[in-house]
Amino acid sequence: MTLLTAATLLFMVMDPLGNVPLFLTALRHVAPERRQRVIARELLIALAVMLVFLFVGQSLLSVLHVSPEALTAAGGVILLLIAIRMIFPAPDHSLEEPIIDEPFIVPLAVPYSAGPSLLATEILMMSQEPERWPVWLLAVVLAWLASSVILYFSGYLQRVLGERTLLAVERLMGMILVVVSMQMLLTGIKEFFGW
Amino acid sequence: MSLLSAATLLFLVLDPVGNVPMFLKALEFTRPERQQRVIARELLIALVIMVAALFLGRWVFVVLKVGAEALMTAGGVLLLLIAIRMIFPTPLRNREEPVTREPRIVPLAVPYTAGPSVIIFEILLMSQWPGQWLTWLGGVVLAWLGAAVILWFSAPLQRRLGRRTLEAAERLMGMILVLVAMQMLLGGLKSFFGIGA
Repeated sequence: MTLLTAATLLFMVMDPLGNVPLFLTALRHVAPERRQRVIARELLIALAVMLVFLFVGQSLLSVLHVSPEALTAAGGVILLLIAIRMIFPAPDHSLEEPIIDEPFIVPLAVPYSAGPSLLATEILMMSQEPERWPVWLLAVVLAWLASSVILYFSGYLQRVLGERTLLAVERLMGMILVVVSMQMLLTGIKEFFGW
Repeated sequence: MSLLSAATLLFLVLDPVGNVPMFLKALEFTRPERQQRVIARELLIALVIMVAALFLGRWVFVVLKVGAEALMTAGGVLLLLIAIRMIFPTPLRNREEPVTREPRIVPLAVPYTAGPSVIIFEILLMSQWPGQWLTWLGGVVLAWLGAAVILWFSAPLQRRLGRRTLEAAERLMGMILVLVAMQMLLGGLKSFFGIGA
């Protein structure tokens, strides 16, 4: 695998275009002037998670005795919970934590940007040819850079679309996400059981 | 399961980072010069309780007559719920206990540090592999040591890093715990149904 193939593969797995509506809906309650800063912060956290996982991911999974199949299934569970919260919004949050509406790490950085499929791909590349780690590192950074540009400018789309459209999109994306997460969960279980 | 795995898992279940703000809140009514001593005392009590729970584990297994597979699946479900609470903080979280004076055993030692999740996880380890009790004991002590260092420095940690960073660390730890939970849950089911063994 060359640098370009690896970067392209990671870029596809990150699926920034598919993430644009998810980012928009998650940022619905954030004040417009803070939005770009939140996106930038979340993307940087995602990069940090991706880089750390590239190097310690495999040993982390083996120390904890977690198989890659369980990683997929766990990703499905987290996504499913996010989707459920999108379709059935939680009742009003307590007054003590007004900041709770601003997404932090969950869901933008993990799992939307650095999702389980991306982390699994990283592990795959590292386990096959660990000695080529500089190439994989560069590929991760390149893929992240390309997706970040798309996602960063997606923040401006919000002004064009308006609040009501986004509300509708949120419910719709929730439905789609339920299906996607079930697929992940079932695939993980199936492979875990070796069927 | 090795010593390192057990210690890492127990450390994650102990959730020391998530406990830092709760420790500080509980110590509000303690005189500042006594706070470090109270923390140390409570942590030592927690260690005693954790070690005691570890050896109780064997008996619970004998009395309940549940299969090892069912226990492992139950552990997975439990861990999953704990991890979900770490990842998605809700106002319903309500783990905080009301404190009006200097805390004594409750709530710092129990349930914040030696909480039900840690105890059940210890019982699980003991009943699955009772022969390796020395490893589990080492795991408990190591995990406690790690958690104790973080909790001992609660005040400077929160001051230096801020609540957001602590929250970030807790969420990432929750993610790792979800992985372990799924592995246990699926592993338990797999061996219960005798699939692919």
